[in-house]
Amino acid sequence: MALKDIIGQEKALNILRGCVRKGRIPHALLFAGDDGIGKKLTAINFAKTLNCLNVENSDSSVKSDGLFEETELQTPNSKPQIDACDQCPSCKKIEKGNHPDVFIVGPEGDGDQIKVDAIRQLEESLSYKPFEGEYKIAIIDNAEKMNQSTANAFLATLESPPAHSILIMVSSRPEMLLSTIRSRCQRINFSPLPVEVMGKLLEERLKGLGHEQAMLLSILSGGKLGYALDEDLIEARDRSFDEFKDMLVNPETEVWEDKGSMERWFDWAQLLLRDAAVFRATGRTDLLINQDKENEIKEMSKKAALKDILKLAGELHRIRRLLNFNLNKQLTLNHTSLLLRKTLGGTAYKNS
Amino acid sequence: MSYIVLARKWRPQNFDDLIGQETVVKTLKNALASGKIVHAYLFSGPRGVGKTSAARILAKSLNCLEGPASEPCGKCRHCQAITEGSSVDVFEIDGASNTGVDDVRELRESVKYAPSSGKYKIYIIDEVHMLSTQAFNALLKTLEEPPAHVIFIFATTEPKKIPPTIQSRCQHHSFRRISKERIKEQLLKIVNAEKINIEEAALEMIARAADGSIRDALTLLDQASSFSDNITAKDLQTLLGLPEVEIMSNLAETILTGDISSTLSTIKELTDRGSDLRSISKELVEHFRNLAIVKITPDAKDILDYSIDDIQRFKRQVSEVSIEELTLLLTELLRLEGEVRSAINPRYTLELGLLRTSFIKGMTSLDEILKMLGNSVEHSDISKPALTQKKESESPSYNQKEEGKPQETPDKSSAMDKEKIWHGLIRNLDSKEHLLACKLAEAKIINLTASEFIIGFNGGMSVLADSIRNNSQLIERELNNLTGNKLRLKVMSLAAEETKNNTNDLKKKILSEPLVQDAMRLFNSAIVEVRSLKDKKSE
Repeated sequence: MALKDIIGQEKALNILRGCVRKGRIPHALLFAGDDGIGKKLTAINFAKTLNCLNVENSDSSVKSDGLFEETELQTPNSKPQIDACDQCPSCKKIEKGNHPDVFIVGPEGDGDQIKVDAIRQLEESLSYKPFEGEYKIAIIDNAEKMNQSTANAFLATLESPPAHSILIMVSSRPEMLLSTIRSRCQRINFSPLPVEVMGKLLEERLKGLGHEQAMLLSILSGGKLGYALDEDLIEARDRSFDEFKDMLVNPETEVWEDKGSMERWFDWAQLLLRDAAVFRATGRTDLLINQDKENEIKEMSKKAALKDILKLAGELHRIRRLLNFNLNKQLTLNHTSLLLRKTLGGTAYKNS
Repeated sequence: MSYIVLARKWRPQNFDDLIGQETVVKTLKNALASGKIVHAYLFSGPRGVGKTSAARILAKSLNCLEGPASEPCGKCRHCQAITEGSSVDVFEIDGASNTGVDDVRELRESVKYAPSSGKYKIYIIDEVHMLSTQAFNALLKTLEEPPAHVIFIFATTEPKKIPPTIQSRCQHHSFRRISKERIKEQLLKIVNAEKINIEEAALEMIARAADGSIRDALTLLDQASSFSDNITAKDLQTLLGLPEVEIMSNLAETILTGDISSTLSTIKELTDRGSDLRSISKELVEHFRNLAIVKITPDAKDILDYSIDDIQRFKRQVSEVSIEELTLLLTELLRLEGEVRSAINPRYTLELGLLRTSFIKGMTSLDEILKMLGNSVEHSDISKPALTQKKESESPSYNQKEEGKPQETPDKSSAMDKEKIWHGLIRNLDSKEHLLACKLAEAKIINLTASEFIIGFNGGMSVLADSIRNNSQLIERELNNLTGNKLRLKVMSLAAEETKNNTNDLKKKILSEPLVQDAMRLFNSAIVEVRSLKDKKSE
């Protein structure tokens, strides 16, 4: 795998390649963007590119005039883009995670935090010259998980790291980082994948998936490729919707197994209510996410006024946030199903 | 040698290079020139405005071979050693990595010894807010009376975290955010020196996105220059992940007009292209803030960092919207922005929130409600006097008496309001007969004629009537003093039923009021209880 295999992040890749081409590689980068869209993958492959033995890294003779022309000018005859070869020992070592000059630090242990010791250790390793590659590269995965003292302790290194070192912070919640950290890094934004691109890709990758299904999966995942490939989203959605309907009719059913399934249920419920509300407000079916569930959504949106649907969605959103504070499962279930039936239960509930 | 980023390359090396901090620079320079050097400085301010740089420059000025002078020479070996970070007398300590009390103890040990080559031993502690409480406390004694050759310089972004005992021992200098213009000026200088081709509009965008921090600005410039030889505004937009101005403007327009269908279509379009909805919701808030400011003040140009064209554009957009509506929208969007930022799926959260805002459009502004109310008040003006007339004629027995009496001195007593007389009476009596005054306060004024002042007690209060009657002489005398008329006090007991009937009558009348009916319809409400104002007073 190399940079060219990363899909849908042309903008980010162009910036990175531009840096390499001009030999102006910033010592601190911040890869920001949603989960599952290829940030860490890019970081690793960028590390490969930087340390690749087969690449003429800084070729300043190539001139570029901006972001856009570059990809358009790409013809079979033109000079290949800067990338890792993925063949040399260096690339292979990085792929396997045992290159002596590439470090990946992430949250670990109880608090799911990046502890100050990890950063101190990293600082020490960075202080030596690279063993084999040209650069020492540190990838801080989930950088927002650095606790207060870690983040502060890292500031000095981040501002002026030892020569030959490149620090790459990877974060899906960059706004949670200290502003002093953000201001020291060159931020590179990763965006969710466009629906079309991803749909096509999913169709190719997952055999046996029809065009319709691939598109649906693409929308459902919110442009996060990793998310779409890892889980069976459509099935998960159907299950949650069924549970939703079940709760309307059958208040006694046990629907959630554990906290994880509760969280997922609330996320799917938000989607369902979103569709119901959108249909209620606009009457358009092309704006729906769950195109395949059109009839059910129409049916549901008839049962309550827009105001009440939004209220319900707001209430569920609030509970979803409270889930982080250990809610009692049974009480939450009772409360939620009560809310659902109050708004969407229709006359049957009101009469009983 | 690896590439040095602009922010490090262009780190200011003397006070004149330090932009946007005129007050601090002037104070420090004057202090240096007049030799008034204190032993502890505290520099605070937002990220990337020059705190650490100022600390280094100050250190240079102090230890410069030609100093202490108001500007370091930058050439002598001391200045150069400090610039390189190799001076033996200037210790730059990372407060965030050396947080413990042991680190401070070590520091206290080394403070004792005289400097090896310079005049001063200077300790720059960066990110000093991260020191532990114990570490701070261990530092207190040294900080208060350090050896003559020692100078401390603390730099921090969070002065609130510094204990007051430390703060009071330091000379505190607050660094300010740098204005957009100053940042742009500095960027221009650097762009020229570095031979970077960049559009004016792109520079403007960098200066705005930097949000008061020169380091942020330089980081951005660095990034922009590394992927393009000719930096355009469009490049910058991509780099910052900003949505196009037209899209934002359209989105705001559809929200303002309450066209929820188009709003949702735009969001769908944006998601299909893979835009970052978090930054879009942030931009949306900013856009509405601009709109609100343009709406409310004529001097929007001084407040907003936008060109006159942009401001005109904002003005056109808000010409049809009331300020109440804008404020509500802004409040709602602000809340939404926070929700979207932490949402698992920003799209749905944003859409649900925008649906919520569509209700704001349907709300009527306060002005309009007042206008509506004003109209119906005019309606009821005709019936209102009728009501009060009726109220007065509720006790016909007194009216008969009133008519029967010849009107002797109508001008004097009618000039004075009966309520006023009554309160005056109670006040006067209060000084002489407190108890009596209290009892009188419970009474209701029924009527005032030329020769009679009629009061009444209703229901349970009628027990007081007797004691009033016993004291009527005293009261009449007071009344006489007060009005100059000979008035007789007449005390009546009103039956409890009568008051009840009154309320029933009142209720009927009130229910037939058009104003009340309007209000009931407007709020979809019912009348639970009718209470006369007089009853309330006596409770």
